[in-house]
Amino acid sequence: MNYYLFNAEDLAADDYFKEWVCSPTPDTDAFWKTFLHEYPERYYQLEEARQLVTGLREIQCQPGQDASVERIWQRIDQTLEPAQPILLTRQITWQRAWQMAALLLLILGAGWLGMNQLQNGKTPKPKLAQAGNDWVETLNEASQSMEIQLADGSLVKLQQGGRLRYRKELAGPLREVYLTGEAFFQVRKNPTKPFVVYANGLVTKVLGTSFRVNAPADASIVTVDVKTGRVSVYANQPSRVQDPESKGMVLTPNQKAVFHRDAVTLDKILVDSPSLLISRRELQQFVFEDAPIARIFGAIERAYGVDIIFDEEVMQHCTLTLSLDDENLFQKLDVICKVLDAQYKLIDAQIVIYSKGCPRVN
Amino acid sequence: MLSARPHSALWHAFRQGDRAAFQQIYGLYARDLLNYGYKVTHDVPLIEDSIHDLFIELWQSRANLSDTDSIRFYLFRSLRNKITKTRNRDLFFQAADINDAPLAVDDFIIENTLIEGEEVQRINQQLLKSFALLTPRQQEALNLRFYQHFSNEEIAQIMGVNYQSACRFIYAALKTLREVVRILSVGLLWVGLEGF
Repeated sequence: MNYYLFNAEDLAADDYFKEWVCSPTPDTDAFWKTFLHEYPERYYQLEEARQLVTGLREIQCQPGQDASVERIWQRIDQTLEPAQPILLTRQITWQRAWQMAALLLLILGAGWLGMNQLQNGKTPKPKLAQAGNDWVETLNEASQSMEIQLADGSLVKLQQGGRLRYRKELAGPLREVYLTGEAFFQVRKNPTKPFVVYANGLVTKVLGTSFRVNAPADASIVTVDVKTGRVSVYANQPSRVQDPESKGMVLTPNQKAVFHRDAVTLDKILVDSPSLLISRRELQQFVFEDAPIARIFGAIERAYGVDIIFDEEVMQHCTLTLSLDDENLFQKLDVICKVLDAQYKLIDAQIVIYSKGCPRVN
Repeated sequence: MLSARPHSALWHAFRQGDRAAFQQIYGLYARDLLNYGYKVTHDVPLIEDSIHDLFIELWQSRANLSDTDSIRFYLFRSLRNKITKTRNRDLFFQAADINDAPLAVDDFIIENTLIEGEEVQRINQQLLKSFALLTPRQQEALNLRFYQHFSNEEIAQIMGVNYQSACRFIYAALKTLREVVRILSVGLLWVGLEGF
């Protein structure tokens, strides 16, 4: 190559030259020194090219990447969460064995401390597992459920085999926890710092409420059912086009979200046995004698927090005599429908009544 | 820095499903990919989403990867494809073409660890300003060449253009930037001579 005819940009674009500037070797050093020695008048071309190459490398550095690198990894890790059980069957390396032993020791230690406290008759709070890092992981290997109190006072009842990962101080703008398995959450209200549960690709976000998340590690379904308050659930698919939360749904008490991980679909249904949302005393006031069906449905809607959809015009002459006691909602609907010769269906957590109406009574 | 390849042991462990190895591989490339992403688009969430998807796919297809795959090249090319695909889709919703928006100078910061002397710093500042005035594609090509150290052939493939175009991007950009270096170098020379 006749580098004598090269100007600065030619040199900067040349592979051999760039390699010398970026990572010189004795060979390349010798080559370019000889070149300069022979053609000292090319010094400026060479120097300018060198400056271009080094300058271009320097100015490409981006600040503040560490945070992004870490953040993206968290997301990747979280997306891959279900792959974990496969990992456990893998051959165990020494390093991993030590890690596992340490973890086991931590859990045993935490369990021992918890037991100790129980025996001493003190507050039965299990001690938070200590870890050098902010994140703490608790695995419930006991044969019964385990209560974990988080730094904000929220309570998590972790079922057998459940795994909860959380920050000791719940630092950051969100109270974030990661769950595999089943747990019931009673979240202390804090409107400025939402509480977020990540479970197998489903995100559950609340301000303060109680709900249950069931995300078995090897199942393709995640469910969330709500006991009190409002809960927002959505698939964990960060998107730039729209806020993923806007593609999710809001659950109210007695509603349940079923998330299919494979199809990434989210359905809203009623919980298996809706519980009463009003006090028993209030319930006793719901006694109806020959009352229009609209009033009765209204009462049921209030008592269980459900939506009942029916054609008011068609059913305007339907009346019933009944009192609402605390029997099962669905049994009650069965009875009502039998009496009125109607049918009901559950569609998207709503109760839809199909009726041909009732004869007018004079 | 020159085309760092993961040790074959690391790569092997990753293909066997070792999550720790996977994380190390991520650590090897994440910074460079982010850096490159900034040259392709200014949309940080888009870059991060794309890198996320990229590594998820890498993990999922680990069993089908060969021993000799040029992982670095693959990652860069896939990242660019992802970003442009999403961007093109979004263009249906957004009228403005992000491709044409020049990058703001303020978004770069010079790292001076390797260079010394105020004059060199000033040259780099000047270089940075001129760099920001280059077309996005020129900036991208320069990043791939001088920061990521890809060959011109690889750059052409990553950017999805032919070899001549890739060379043209680089050469035209260097020609523009050279003016900066030339003028200031003369100044530097004078400063240097005054020292005697």
